[in-house]
Amino acid sequence: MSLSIESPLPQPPFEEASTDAGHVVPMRPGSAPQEPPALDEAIAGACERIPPLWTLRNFVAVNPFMGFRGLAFADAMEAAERLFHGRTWMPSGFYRAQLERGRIEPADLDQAIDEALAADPGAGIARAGAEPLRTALLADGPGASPAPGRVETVADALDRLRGSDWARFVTHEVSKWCAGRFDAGQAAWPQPWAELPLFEAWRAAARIDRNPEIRGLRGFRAYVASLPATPRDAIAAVLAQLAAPAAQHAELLTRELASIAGWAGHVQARVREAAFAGERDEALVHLLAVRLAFDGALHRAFLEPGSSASEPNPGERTSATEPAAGPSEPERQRLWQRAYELGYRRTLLSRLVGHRPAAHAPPARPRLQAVFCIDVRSEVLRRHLEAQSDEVQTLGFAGFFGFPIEYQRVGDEQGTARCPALLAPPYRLRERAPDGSPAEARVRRARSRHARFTGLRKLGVGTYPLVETVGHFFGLRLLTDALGWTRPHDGGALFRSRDEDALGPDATRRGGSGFGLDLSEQVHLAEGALRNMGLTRSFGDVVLLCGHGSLSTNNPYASSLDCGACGGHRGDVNARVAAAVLGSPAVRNELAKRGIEIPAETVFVAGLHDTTRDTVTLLDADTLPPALRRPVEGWLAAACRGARQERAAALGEQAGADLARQLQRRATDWSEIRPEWGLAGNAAFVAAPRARTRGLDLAGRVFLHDYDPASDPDGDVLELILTAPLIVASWINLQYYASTTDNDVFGSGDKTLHNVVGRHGVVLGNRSDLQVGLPWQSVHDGTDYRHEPMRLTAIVEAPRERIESILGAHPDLRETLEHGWVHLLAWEPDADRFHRFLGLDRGWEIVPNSGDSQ
Amino acid sequence: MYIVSINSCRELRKNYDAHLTKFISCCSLPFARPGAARSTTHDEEALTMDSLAGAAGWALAAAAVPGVVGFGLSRGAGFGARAARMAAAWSAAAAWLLALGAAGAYLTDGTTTGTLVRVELPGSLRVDLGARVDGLSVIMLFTVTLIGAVVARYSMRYLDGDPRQARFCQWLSYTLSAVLILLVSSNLVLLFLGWIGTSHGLHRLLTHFRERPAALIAARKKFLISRLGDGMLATAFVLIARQFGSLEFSEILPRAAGVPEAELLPIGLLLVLGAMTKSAQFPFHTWLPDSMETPTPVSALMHAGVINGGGFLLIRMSPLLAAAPAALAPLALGGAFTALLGSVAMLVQTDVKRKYAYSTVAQMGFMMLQCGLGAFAAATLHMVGHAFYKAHAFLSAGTAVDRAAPAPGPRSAPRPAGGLALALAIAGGFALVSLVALATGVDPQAKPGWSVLGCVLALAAAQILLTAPSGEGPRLRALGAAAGIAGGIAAVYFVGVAAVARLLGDAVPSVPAVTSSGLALVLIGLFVVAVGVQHRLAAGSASRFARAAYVHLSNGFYLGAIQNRWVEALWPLSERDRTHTRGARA
Repeated sequence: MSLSIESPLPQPPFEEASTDAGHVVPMRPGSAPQEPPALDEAIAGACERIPPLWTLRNFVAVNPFMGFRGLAFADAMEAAERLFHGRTWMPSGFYRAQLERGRIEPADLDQAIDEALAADPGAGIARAGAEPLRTALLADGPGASPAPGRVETVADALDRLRGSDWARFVTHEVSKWCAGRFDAGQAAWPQPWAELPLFEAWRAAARIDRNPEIRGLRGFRAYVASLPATPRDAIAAVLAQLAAPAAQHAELLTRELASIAGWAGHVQARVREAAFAGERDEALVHLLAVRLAFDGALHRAFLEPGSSASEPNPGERTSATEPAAGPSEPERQRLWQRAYELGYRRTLLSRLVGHRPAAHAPPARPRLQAVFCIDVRSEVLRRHLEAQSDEVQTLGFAGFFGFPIEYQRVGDEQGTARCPALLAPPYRLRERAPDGSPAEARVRRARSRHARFTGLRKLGVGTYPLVETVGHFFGLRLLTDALGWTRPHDGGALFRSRDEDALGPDATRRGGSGFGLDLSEQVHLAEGALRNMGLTRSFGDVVLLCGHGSLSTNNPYASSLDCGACGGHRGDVNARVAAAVLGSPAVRNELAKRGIEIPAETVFVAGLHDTTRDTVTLLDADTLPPALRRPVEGWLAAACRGARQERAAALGEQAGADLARQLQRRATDWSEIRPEWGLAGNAAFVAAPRARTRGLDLAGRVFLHDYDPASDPDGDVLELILTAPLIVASWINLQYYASTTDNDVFGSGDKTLHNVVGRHGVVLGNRSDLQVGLPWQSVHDGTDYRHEPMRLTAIVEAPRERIESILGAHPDLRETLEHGWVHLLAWEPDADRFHRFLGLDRGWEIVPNSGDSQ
Repeated sequence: MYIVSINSCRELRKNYDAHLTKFISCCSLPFARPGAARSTTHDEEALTMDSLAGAAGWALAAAAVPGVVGFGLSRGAGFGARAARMAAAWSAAAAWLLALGAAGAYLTDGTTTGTLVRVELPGSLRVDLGARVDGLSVIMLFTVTLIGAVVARYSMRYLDGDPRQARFCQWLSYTLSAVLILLVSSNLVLLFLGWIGTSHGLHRLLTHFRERPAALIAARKKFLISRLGDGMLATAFVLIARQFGSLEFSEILPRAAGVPEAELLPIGLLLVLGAMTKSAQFPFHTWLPDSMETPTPVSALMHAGVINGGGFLLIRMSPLLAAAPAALAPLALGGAFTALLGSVAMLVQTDVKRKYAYSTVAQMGFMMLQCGLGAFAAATLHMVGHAFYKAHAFLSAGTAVDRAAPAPGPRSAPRPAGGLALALAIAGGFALVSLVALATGVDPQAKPGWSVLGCVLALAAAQILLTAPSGEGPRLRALGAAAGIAGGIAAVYFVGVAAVARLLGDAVPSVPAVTSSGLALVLIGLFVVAVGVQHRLAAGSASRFARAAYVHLSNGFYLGAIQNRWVEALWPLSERDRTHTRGARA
């Protein structure tokens, strides 16, 4: 498999010279010898701190602290607080309430303290000793000091000193301009200067825009005109003007980008995409120059000699308060957070250890083998499906089933990636109708009519008579949408061709179209998929490849509920492709030569798990003999019913016979603000044979990846699991973490204020930075948090030496684990023992009580 | 003084309970009491409580139910979120049903006026607090209650879990009731109370997120502009009362035609200005694009209900305005200018809600233009169509990331139409509209403002024709389809205007105001230029002018920013405003 990757974030090669001088301003380090190369490092460092932000068309989770991954977790959080001005822990009052509720037990707190003391005996807090520390934690703390050592832009500093509102204004101005620059079809009149590089284009607009001056930023246009034309020179000029010491450049520049983190993230995602395509995109540096120019103008207008104000020193940290006696608030939060995580681990491990799967002898040949995505939502359905019959087996694997494809629908001008964001899809597939069918042409025409109809809204003058005529039909539409008879975006229902269902992904390579997979590619992908999901023998009668997707209405964040492993899309396309390839006799022939014998009777079939309604739809199921189909559908229906009942309480719905209808309502109601809970609550990752957890209620909080240590002596499969699915799970986990600890900064705020910008993102209210992370309603139910912000606990059943050798080969992964971004435990089921990974040098530590609790 | 005296206020309060009881029982009883006395505009003696049994009773009940139940009861009894949102949604739904009842009664009984309570004022003036049910109020009542019911229902789930949901639903009900009172009122006083109540309730809704400074500034801007409008309206009403010696529409409107134009002109101008503040006309439109700092349902109610207050006022007073045509000319010009400003500014907006806001500004401008041309029936049709369209647009604003829609790519970039194509399309548009007019048997000349409105229709048809080549499939077929759409729209338009004119009956003047041909030419010129400008600019013109225009337009010509500075100077954010926090997140 080609899925193993070295770095979670391949950066474009900065040291290579740009070859396209016409469109890319040469930014080559060394091209300006009068500047110290330190500036280039500072710029590159600032850019690296910004996590990419995918559009809402294909929103995939990203670790919001990705830029700090070289640091120990607590240090990264400290840095993120200083630079992004967001809270990265819960307030200590939150944790104390958890202690009162019993969610944290006193033993957890003791253990957290012991761990901290053992990890760093020389630390300040360690001097007092464990018992006083414990007393201090339970008492009221010093409270969160709002800005310990924050790095500030000029705008931040001015606001702090004078009570002005410049920081917000500057963010809004940059956001306003970026929204035009990166508009994907909202404005009928596109922003001019699209042909110019970003900084140049902004300069041209800023020299016309009078808004800053009206707001009181004197001389803004003249200042912009006076800036050097290339972004790097402009950055150097502004830094010189601010007289910021060189040592602070990196942090100041990071803060500049962090103050427009949303759009910077959008640009970062574009930079990454370009890097995947082998191109170099310097747009983020350009954006940095734009943001810095505002600070330069503020400095010129308010702080230069002649102005009487006391001079704040931009880039300098605000003075940290004198350390009080006892642990500081961040230290307290760190310890409490660890105790909070240990509390969950305690219950999880005791359940794993105490669980003795029913001693049923698994049938040599199960009737149904269902492969689900590792997504935590699958756990519930898998459990209920297995409960239906001993003849049902389920497996967990990344929901793209090992088929990293780009998929282009009929009528689309470009395809979309249907694979984890870590990968650039190497294969292109397209939607097609069966040969000779006129369906494709009809669908194409219908979609084109739809596009033209929506285009009518852009008419300008033409809209007046339109409103007076077509407008009235919306009266009826209001009523039917409100009553749930129609869904608003079905505007296309009129234009939906009946032939849509005849279309599907076409896996076969035809002629020189460049679409599809040839036989060797099919065999390669099929083999990789089967080996990595551990399905190389004892095939069942039916192998169901079940992707997942979520139906919600009027929800800009719909794609955040879809399958992240399919690039923020529904998983049906990948499942259909995988099932088609694995069903092909030619592929099976080749697989047999490579030692994977799939019985001729085994049928591969695709399915889609709708996570809002908990239904499973079989796709392309006409290959399934009725005698097999009936029991399979019966089990699935019963499992879905069970899963729905289990989820009802969390959604505030009444469990009962009517539940399916209520969930249908949630999925299709245009006013529903919480269609489902997505991956809220995710807390752990388990890579082990399903037999270890079968029958165990893990409450939909665990990513379950099948892994059989016995059949992977070389560790190839484990290497893949640790470098790809585990990292993706950790990204999801940390996105939920940060959206919970500070939804205003790391999340996307209140959904009722969401205002879709550029058809691909969201701003809040009138104007704001592009929003990152998850909405408030995705982590909070109005009364309490639905997500418990914890780092992922990864439990892997594998020999420790095997894990160590993989970590040795992957320094990034090793760093992630050693720095405590994910808690890795190696599981020895036979000894009922867990070993906590401390570091390649520090080794492992037996998890206390785990071995002797039973 | 034509102000409600303190005495009568006391009296009113004393009688309040009795009236309220009677009123509520009135709401709950079957309405069409057979043989009930029916009052007409000419039968003042019949203005008794009994007259409430007819259409006026339905209308007053519709207006009152959301306020009494969704606001009064809900607030008085301290309802929690669940109870409050049920109260708001059900009372709004009840209002819609009652509005249907009023419509039915109107269709059988015709225009009626009913009085709930009579207040004697000093100076031989009296106020009959009651409802006037005619074609206009029935149409608007139906429209706004439907939207109100949908918005209230929508808010149940949409604000679920919001710590201030109960308060939100209460003020939503209050605002809805205020709009409805404005719509059904039978006299100037009640209309004015509704007018103020609307803006008061809206202010509460706009400050839902009081921890957001931008929300406070936007609400305050709206507040100040509204007070400006209140002042103009109050002055106009005082002048009307002085002129006619009455506050009742039933007495003022029929007599307007007999008053010399010079006497009516100041009144007309004040009404026009007041309406322009309410309906977001240049230069008072700036509060609207900045009003998105509040949950989406508020935007829907605002753009579909509240904003129509200005247009409604003008149509309600149309007999008076028709008698003062000199006041209509500035209205037509102001409306046309606002329409063009809004529709061009809309083209550069990158976020969906602000785009809708400028679209509303433009649509309201066009509606005002129709009023200015004396085409009050067309204006009514426009108001209703726009209300439905815009309410739906806001409530479904989350679909703007439409993942089912074809992914954008370089091919979907707009292609500019050539000059020849543009000219041909315009010619085709005119031909098409004339053809449809002939086919539907409409005599365009008899329609007020036809010269201008017909041209706009033809220009719209031309633009639809121009979209034809962008589709898939054969060109000719696409052109045919576009012509079919444009022709269909024209036909529906003609039929719609005729139907509304019929429904409005005597609510609007039967003799249309005459628009001078000079004014008509100017207006037509404005629209032709707008179409040309739109085609040249939006196609990505690289001229310096176009680029500067883009930047200035995307800032709304800075009017909002300038006014924000004034607002911040007049009503600065206090320390408390800056430190509000949300209950649940603190």
